[in-house]
Amino acid sequence: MPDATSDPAADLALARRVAAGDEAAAAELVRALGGELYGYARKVLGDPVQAEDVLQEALLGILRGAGGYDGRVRLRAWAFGILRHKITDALRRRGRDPLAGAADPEEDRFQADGSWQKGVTFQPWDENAELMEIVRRCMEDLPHNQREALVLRAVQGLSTREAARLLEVSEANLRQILHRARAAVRRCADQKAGPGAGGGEAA
Amino acid sequence: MNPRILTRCRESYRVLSDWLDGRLGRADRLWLRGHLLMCQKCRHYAAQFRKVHELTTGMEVAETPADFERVVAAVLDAWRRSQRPAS
Repeated sequence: MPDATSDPAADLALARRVAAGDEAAAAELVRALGGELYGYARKVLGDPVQAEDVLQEALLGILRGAGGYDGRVRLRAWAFGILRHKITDALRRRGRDPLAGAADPEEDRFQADGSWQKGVTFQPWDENAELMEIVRRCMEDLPHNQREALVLRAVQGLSTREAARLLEVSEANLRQILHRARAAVRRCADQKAGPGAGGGEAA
Repeated sequence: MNPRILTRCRESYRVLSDWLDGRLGRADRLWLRGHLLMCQKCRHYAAQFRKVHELTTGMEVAETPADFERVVAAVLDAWRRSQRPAS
């Protein structure tokens, strides 16, 4: 990401140039943000065609709304906020509740005394397994808010506070969502990467 | 060592994210370390959880759409048209 969107003063200056109709500034902004916004939409929505549509809507919204950017948050965080609204709209059109969550994936696996239930075992994963690819596939099965929290957490330079604000949850709630998301991905990955690919757990 | 440390698997599980995100206090880190030393299931579980944490936190988010230049051109064109005063 060029410096133009990581320095607060430069952020504001760039947004003002766009708001004034400066085409070079608009092109700079679109190119600076495009890859990251698209990658985010692609990972959250899954469908590359829909992600591209959402990207176009978001980028246009960013250019048109540049005059309303006041520099109180970084331009990148502000832009992600616009993208999120477009993604939420897309999910609603798809008939999925963007706020749908999920219960803790492990809580039912403990005994009353707090230890793991009998029969639950965990084995080290096969080091040759393509874990990144497995994790990506497992993320696709997560509830939307968990998947989005994980991707948002990976956006470089975005603080937990900014991520929580974008997701419209408290920081404590975001930490819980992230924890459940990681636990769900771990459980899914254990079935794909454990000994014998599926032998990792005996619930 | 307190024998109850052996049955603190649920507590150990619940603090894993805070631990990996560096949000766990010293006392909690110490009992967690003690529990992981004593409990093989939680040790293996924590190792897997750590791997997931590393891979998801460090994943590359940015991707370039297959036809990014077309997207850029379409967005700029739509923006330019919206800038023109209505006649």
